[in-house]
Amino acid sequence: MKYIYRILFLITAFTWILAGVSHAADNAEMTSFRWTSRNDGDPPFVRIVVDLTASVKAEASMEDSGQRLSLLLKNTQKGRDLYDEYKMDPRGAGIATVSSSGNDTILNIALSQKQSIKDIKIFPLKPDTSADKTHRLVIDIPIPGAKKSYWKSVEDMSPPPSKTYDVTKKAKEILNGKVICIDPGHGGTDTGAIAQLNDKDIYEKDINMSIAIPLRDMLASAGAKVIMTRSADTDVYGPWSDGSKELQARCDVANKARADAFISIHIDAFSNPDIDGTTAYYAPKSKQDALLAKELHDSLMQSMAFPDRGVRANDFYVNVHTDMPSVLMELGYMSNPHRLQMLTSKWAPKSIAHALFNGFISYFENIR
Amino acid sequence: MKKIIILLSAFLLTLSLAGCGGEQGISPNGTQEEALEKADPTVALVYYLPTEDAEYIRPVTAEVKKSMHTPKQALTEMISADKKQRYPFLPANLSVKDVSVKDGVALVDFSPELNRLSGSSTVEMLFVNMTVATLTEFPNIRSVRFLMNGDPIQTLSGHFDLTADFKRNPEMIKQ
Repeated sequence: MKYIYRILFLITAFTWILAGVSHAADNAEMTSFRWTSRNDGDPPFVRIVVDLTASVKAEASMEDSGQRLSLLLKNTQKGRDLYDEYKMDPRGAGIATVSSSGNDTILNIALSQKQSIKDIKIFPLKPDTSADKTHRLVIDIPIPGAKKSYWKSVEDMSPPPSKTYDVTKKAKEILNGKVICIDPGHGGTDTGAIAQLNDKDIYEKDINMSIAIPLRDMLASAGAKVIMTRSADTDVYGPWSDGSKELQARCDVANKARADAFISIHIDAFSNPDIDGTTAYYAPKSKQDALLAKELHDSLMQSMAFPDRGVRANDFYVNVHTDMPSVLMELGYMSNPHRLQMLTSKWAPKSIAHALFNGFISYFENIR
Repeated sequence: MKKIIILLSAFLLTLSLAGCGGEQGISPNGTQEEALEKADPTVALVYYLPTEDAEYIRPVTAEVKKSMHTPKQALTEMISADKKQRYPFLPANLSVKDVSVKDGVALVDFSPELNRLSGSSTVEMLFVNMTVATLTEFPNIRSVRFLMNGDPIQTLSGHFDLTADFKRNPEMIKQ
């Protein structure tokens, strides 16, 4: 027997009620079919989005085999631009077919692995006129046991080539031989904060890396020995590991290298888009921790137009569990649209890195 | 069509029920209220919310019945007050399952929605400090340990070490 799962789209019903319209939307059309593999879920999933000209009623059912999902979109015409068949991600759902049946449109999705209908998320999205988006129906199909670091192609994983910077004699004198560990926050299966820019998802982990790389190269150009907790878009301990294992792995990198200083690079976020500024966090485990945070923060305040949110003592994991003076820098809020524009620009990551570089010079000069 | 009609009538029913509730609220029974007040007087309950700039936390005082003056209720008030802020930041449907206190340590058990706390230092810092400050308002609570669905938590979104017990941080509080 087929397991039938009926979805009543409440927004559909309420729209009718509120508008006082008694007839069903019998002229809906499915105008597009898109899919993408997403790794920002546990497990990763295949997301299918279909565009609809009006809200529709739909029924979902799963065949006994658990490998074929059917969606019946009632009173919905199949749009002219749609193909009959879509090839998708073979790890989750290999093929989807779109066909007409009387007044209805049927979506058949072949699942690569046996799944329960309860694990498949199906939900409607209301039109968003500001983003020029119509009614949508979203189908999320989990990819159980997916290789969870499947995120970017191998080419993308290799770190950007190192670059030599012109640095002052003084910088070389002070930084030569210093061991500095840079931790670009998050990475791999952990995106960190997420923001949208021009309809595109921006991940904190990528901005962190865009600042870490020039900082690495500037410090190395001055003769410092730079250790990176990660040099590409990867997890340090392993994909989807629990938080403290991942954070401890980052501390271990610095502790094993007996680094003289540790910096974790982060971008902040909050629900209020007006909030912005930088904060330098340290764990009060030694005087040098506070000094390192102060020097890096002061240097940023001198050369960048960031609102000042201060130098603050805290119990962040990477600061508590590193053996050397360490700082976690929150370099602006990606939830602030202006800051996000700046952070994703070509110039800003390098300028921020340069300010941090100058901060390291002041710090090591100060403790000599 | 049948389903639409059922939904429509369900909608109307909700409306009319809401109407009844409103009327009852307008004409309370005076003597009953007074009797209740004697048995269960109103007391002040303090919980914490972020300051407007999201840099610190600030105390908020609510009036509750004495029987509701509990650590769990204080956190529940905190969560529902966040929802009424201009920019709420706690996950939808987050709830406190339990708060138990032993030897001055409060074990606070949040619902699994805590997993959906958006990831940032600011969010973690505000949430941890609001929870700890709210709970340590109770004289028998000196420190706080975080649980989710009964299990210990290691981190929220990769900043704080949540395996530790948290003490009240007066530097985070702006009166």
